Amino acid sequence: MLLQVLLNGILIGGIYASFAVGFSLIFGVLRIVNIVHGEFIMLGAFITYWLYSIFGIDPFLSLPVSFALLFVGGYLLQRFVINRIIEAPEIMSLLLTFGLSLIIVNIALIVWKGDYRLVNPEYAGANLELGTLIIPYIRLATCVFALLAVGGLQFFLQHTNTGRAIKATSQNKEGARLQGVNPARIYAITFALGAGITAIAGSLLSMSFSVFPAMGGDYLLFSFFIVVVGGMGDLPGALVGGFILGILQSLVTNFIGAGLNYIVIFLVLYVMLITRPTGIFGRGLIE
Amino acid sequence: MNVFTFRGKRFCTALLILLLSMALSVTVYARDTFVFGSAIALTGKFAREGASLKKAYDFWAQQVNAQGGIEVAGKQYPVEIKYYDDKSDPRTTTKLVEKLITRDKVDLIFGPFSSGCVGPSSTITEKYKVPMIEAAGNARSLFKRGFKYLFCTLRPADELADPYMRLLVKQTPKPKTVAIIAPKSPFYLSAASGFETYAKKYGLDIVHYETYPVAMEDITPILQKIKAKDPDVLCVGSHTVVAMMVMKQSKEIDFNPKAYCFSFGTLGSEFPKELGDDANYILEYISISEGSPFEDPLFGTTKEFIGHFKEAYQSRPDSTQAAAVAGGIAFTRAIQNAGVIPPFDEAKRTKVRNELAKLDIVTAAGPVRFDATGINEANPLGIYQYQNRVPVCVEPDAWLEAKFIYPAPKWGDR
Repeated sequence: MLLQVLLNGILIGGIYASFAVGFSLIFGVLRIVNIVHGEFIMLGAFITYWLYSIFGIDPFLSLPVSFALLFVGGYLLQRFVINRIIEAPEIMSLLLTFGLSLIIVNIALIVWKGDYRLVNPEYAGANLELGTLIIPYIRLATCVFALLAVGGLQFFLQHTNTGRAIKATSQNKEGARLQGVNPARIYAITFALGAGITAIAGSLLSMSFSVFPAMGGDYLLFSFFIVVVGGMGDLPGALVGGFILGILQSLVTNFIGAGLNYIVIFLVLYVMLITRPTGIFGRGLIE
Repeated sequence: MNVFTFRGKRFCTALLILLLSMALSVTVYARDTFVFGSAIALTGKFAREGASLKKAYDFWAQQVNAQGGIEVAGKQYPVEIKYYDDKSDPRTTTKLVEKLITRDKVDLIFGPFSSGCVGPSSTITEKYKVPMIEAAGNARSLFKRGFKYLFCTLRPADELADPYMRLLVKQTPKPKTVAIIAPKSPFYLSAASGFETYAKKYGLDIVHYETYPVAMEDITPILQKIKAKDPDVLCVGSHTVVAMMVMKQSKEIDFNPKAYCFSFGTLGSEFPKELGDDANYILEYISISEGSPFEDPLFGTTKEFIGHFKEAYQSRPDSTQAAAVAGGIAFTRAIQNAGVIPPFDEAKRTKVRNELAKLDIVTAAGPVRFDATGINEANPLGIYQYQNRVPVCVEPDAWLEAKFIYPAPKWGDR
């Protein structure tokens, strides 16, 4: 039973990590707390839903489309809207992204109504039985894809010029500027990358959970938890934070009771903020 | 001169405001329509359920207006419903209900979605002595407060479990064990405690009882715990998304109870659309079926009512939608019995309230008779089951549309 509980936590933790990475990346480079993050998840989920339900496209094949659409959308949003307040006090970015979040949710509600939707392909219920262990294929696959997306992002940041420019900007904006890096362009690309990878996470989530316009809120909350535990701006930290959240939820639900799930999460969050505000590895940013 | 002009401007503005408010008050005090108000969830977590409740109120209003309106003393008065979006937030519901009463001066109030929103907003209708009929807040706790202006056309949530258990214990082999889960919110908790009460009453053993936060979507860990106990029946205090998640995640972990009982949320068209064949064999309660022997002058027989509703909205009315329509008809009859015409003042509203309290009517959407606490004790209880993606009535025998399939086939055999 314990093994099954841990396995559940790991499988869901992979997806958690994939949407928290985008949140952490954007914070690490742009220093903004992006409240629109939950809506990126929702939009990714809806893209997958529509491609699946209208064109019958397999949900996994929709991942590049989700990424591309949100990448472009994120780029434009940052370049023409968020960039205007990038030098302003942080409260401004909170207000702006909160406002954007309300606008996007309400447009989604007008366009798609409040109905709950599911991406439920034929193979959704198939599972692998290993003795008493049950591994739903779809959860295994979504976890693997989530990890691939996070790995891809990490590779991009370390091994490409643009990636290195992003890292440089996050470490020292003025230093990067002196080396010929254009921060405005880097900000837009970073935001676009963050949005794109979050959309992939949304697409993956849609295969296990329901899709509806207001779905982003809870995932935003989880993102906060993960980046605080993993360290704000620390990408490997976000990965670990995702697994910690998944396993913690699974353990609490099983051995203490589902009712105390959120209480334990917030308690851990509270303790982390007091004792280790820079995250589990101590590499996160605090101001 | 300047001072005079300034004063003149202020005078003109004041005059304009005075004239405008007089014009407004004239429209308020001389109308020949009944104006109802409702603060209802059109956005937020109950956006889907709120919209479906609104459909039912509108369905009633359209039918009344198609027949010329509510007839009082030989004259017909059309009806109008003024809506505000309460964003699924009880505090907002409360503010908006007060606005509907004090600023919009509506005659009567239709209730919001969910016990959570009915609870606080009904303190406002009570304070202003405005009758509220609601069809989506039947947690027992709401009716223990001694309120006189709150009426609910549903049965209390904790009584709804009766027909499920009544049906299940008739089966062979008779189920023995039950697991109960529910999100932590008044309606679901009330439903869960009802499942518990009636399971015990019918001699079933409760092997698992657990509640969890409303926002928790991944309930696989809970289902896995329950699977290990292998219960015959799974009962869920539910709304649409909870029911969808339970079915999807049960399939993922190959959890096979012999019956799935949901308290609410599976009758909307999206449930079978999104789940496909995975929607089959689940149970939910209903208050009417095509076989119900009810009728009224507005809609004709229950079968005709369900038919018209299906035409309009592509799904049969669920229990709250039927109760909402029954609530509209209850208001109509109480107004007619009281013989009052719009606009309403406190005296007229009190008359309507007193008529509601002694009402005993049959509507195509089910009978209405409020008990001393304001809840509809005449609301009948049946059960439907999804078979081939269509909900069919399987209990009581008098309303039967198909034979109950028990046990539900295992996921691997479907």
